[in-house]
Amino acid sequence: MDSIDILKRAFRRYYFDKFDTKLDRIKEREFGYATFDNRVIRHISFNDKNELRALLVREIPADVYASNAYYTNPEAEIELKNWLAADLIFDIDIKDLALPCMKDHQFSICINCKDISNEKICLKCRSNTKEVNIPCNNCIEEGKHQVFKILEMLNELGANKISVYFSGNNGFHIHVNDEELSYLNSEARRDIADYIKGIGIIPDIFGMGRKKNIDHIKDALNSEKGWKGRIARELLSRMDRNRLISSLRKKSYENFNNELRDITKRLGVTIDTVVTIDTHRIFRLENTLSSKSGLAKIKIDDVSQFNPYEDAVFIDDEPTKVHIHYAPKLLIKGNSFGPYKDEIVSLPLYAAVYLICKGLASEPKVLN
Amino acid sequence: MEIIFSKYDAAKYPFLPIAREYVKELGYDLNEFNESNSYILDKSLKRILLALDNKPSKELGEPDEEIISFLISLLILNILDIRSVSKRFALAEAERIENFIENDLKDENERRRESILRYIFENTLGLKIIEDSMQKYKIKVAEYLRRSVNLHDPHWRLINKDVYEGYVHLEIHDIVRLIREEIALLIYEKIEKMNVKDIPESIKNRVEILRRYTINDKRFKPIIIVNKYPPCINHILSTLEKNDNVSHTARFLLATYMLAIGKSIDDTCSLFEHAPDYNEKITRYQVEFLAGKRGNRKSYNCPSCEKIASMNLCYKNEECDNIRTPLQFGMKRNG
Repeated sequence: MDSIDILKRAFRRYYFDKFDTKLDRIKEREFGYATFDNRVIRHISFNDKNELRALLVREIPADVYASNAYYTNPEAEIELKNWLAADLIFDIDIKDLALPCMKDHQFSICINCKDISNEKICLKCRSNTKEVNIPCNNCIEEGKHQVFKILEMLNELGANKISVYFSGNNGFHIHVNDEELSYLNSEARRDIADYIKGIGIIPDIFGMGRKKNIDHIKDALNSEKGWKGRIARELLSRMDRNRLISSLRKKSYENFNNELRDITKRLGVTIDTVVTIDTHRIFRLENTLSSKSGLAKIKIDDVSQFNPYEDAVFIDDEPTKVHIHYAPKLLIKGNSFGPYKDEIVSLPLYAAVYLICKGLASEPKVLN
Repeated sequence: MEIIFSKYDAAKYPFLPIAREYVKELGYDLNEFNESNSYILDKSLKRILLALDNKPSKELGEPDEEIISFLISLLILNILDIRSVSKRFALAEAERIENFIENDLKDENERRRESILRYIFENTLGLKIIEDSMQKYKIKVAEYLRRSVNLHDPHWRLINKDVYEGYVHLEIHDIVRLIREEIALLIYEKIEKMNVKDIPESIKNRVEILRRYTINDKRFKPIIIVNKYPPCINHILSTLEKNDNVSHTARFLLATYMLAIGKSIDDTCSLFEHAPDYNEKITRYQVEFLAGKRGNRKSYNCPSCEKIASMNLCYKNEECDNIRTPLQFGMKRNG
């Protein structure tokens, strides 16, 4: 039995015993999946969730995806599917936040000799390395902070039926199932993505055009809502109103433009634009496991209380022996593990699966 | 609330059904417009020519003349049957109408403003606009985006608008600009639908004058679509050929593709002449920018097929043969 057999055993049991989904309009969506031997199969459709579950139990995919789009013919090739609408989706990847703590828990492991480094090519044996990231509490909290910001902005846009998901590995997904927004094309979604990210603001909306309008500047500083309100609060937090107005009077268009860009970049949310503007994407399906971690993509009811190492762990705790090449200290399901370095250990299946998925452990080799 | 519209409104907004009803009440017969009535025919022709030069009259003339010259203009354009001419007329007339709507929305009479909102925006365009405060209006975010994506100035981007509680809050000027293309489309459809038998010679003569005027004008020549272009490029060219708006990303793709296959800046610019919002100076600046002759002097590459697909601009067919960039189109097939 190799490492993949351990994963398949764990995934099969999950899909057989625990999988369920509340995904709506299943018939109109395209599904796809990746296998453990790295094949990707897409353009599949199901009549209902029982058919979907049957496939999951039969094929035991490494990763499972469903389209955010609804089609008349979801099985057909992309040009023949007949696009009807698509949920609006956002992807927050903690890795993209460039947090200072990353250096403490991101490293590389050589796929051959298992040496730990920060290199793309192993310095010892010249083989490729695999990048490993184990998000810490700080990462998760920063990710949640991004989620709260996006929720505030979606509220400004009047979006209804918003669901927040843990992505299954290293981030959060936000699904907006709002009919009015579901008909928007890629261009309109790009404008929403830019709004969320804080891209494209111009000084003119603050009265700071090539020709200054002092009344307009004063008005803008009174704003409470939307981007204008956010920027006004930020500027007013730096100095009092009168000093601010007189400093803006003196400021050049270019200087204010640069300042605004810095502010909006900081107050905006780090999302992957490509995901949001793609109206034909297949995106990880809720309540399925990620082969990058063994954790599930799950809907979060209370974002502030959410802990992925507690709430997204659905694999059972059957004791499983694994050869751990390297692992920092981990806390999963309230149990502490490690640190480990090149040792064979018996762990609950969920912890073994986590480390195998991260490339840090494998099935112990049996000597003949 | 009762909608209050007069014959002056029919004159300002001759694309609305009230204008046609008004003419019906007057009981005109098309045959009356012979050479002895050349004044109104010449006014119609002039109306078209001013529109083609994008200089429609800002003034409102005598209501009957306004309405009838509009309807005869539609008839002349229908017989002429050159799509690019009809489209340009429709857009210029829509711009003129925009000014009238803007003024009417500034009217102190609340019932009057409400009538415009109800009759033009809601009943005719199916767009619900709510008066927010005096001289400010609000529109649902999705309704806004559906229209604003065709407008390329940065001030139309959502981040530069007052957005809260599900609405985009706009000044009057913006709200009327937002519907220009829809009104133009309504006018264009009216031209297409004109169906009059037994056209008087006097009108046919005006059609011929207009034909001679437009025949040598490069703005109205059809774009020749060569089959050697990949389908994504042909799709943009055929959209432009219909004088329909193309998105910012489609413009980027077309320009970078043409520059990459060695077309000159002049030739690349000329492809955009058919865009309804064509502006020679802006187009040239943008094409030169992409060619690396302006701004940061960086030239822009034609996007890959994957990127084009993610922008929903891919119309691949079997001839594409798994190419990775539109620049490879035709190459793989030949070996």
